[in-house]
Amino acid sequence: MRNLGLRSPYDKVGGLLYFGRMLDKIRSHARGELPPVYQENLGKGLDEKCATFLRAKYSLIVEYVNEGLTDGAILQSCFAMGHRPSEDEIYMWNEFMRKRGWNDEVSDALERQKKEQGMISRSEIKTLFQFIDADEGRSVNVTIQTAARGKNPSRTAFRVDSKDPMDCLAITR
Amino acid sequence: MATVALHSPSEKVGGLFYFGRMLDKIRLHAKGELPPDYHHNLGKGFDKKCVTFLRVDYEQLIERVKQGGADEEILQWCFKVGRQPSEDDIYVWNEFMRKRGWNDEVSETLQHRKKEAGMSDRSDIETAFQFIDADERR
Repeated sequence: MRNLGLRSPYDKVGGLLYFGRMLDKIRSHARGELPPVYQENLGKGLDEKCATFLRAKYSLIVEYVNEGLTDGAILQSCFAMGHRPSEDEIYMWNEFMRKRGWNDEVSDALERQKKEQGMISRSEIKTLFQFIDADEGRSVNVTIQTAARGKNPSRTAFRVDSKDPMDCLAITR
Repeated sequence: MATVALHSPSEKVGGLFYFGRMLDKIRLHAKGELPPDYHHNLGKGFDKKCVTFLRVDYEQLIERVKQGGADEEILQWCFKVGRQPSEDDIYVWNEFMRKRGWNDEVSETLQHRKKEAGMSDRSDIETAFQFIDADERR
């Protein structure tokens, strides 16, 4: 279990899951504090998914971080460099990221990591986000609403489904 | 349990989940062959998600489908009047749709639908796609 002072992947910046954590890792690395096992994946995996979603170059995001910009300023720079995603796109992206590791091509890697960290019996850990939180000593988020509709006001823009009450009822046909 | 002849939501057109099924529903509705319990959600739910993803208007899409043409042709029309998503966009879309209903805000509705359909004991059905397939006997 690691306590590295990195944000949870569930923490949002501008409505986006994971983005703040990606920046934290870059900052930690710049200070020489990021453990080697984390360094291997810098710019890969979920970092790469995040940069790709924003259509921003990871190397430029690193530059922005190293220039000392705030999270918000970096995100705005990413929007300017790539594109500004709509609320719908952010919603889909967040759900995609939140469920990553469940029943997909990284599920095997997740199980291996759980095994390596002695968490094989932790059946509540079904996603990468949950594993990251557990691995870094945070409680595992097993509720839906916390991830999708949190109390943080910055998350309100994320509630696309709430525009259409029928949306939730319209899943099957 | 429904017997309507629609494509599985997992069948792809141009790499996209669900798009072909949405077109099937429009076609069957136009022919008067779509069962009434499917009418209410036309253009909503997954249909709405799909047209939003492609940035096309559902009513315009209906008109285009009525003009005829293969699924692929209609998808190309969507790319032209809406947008052409990248491979990465399509990947996210497919994963988002494939997992819809698992551990999210529609999970409760899914459980409700399973109960209505007498599938409460079907623990293998964890997503909306899986339910649709089971409900339509696939």
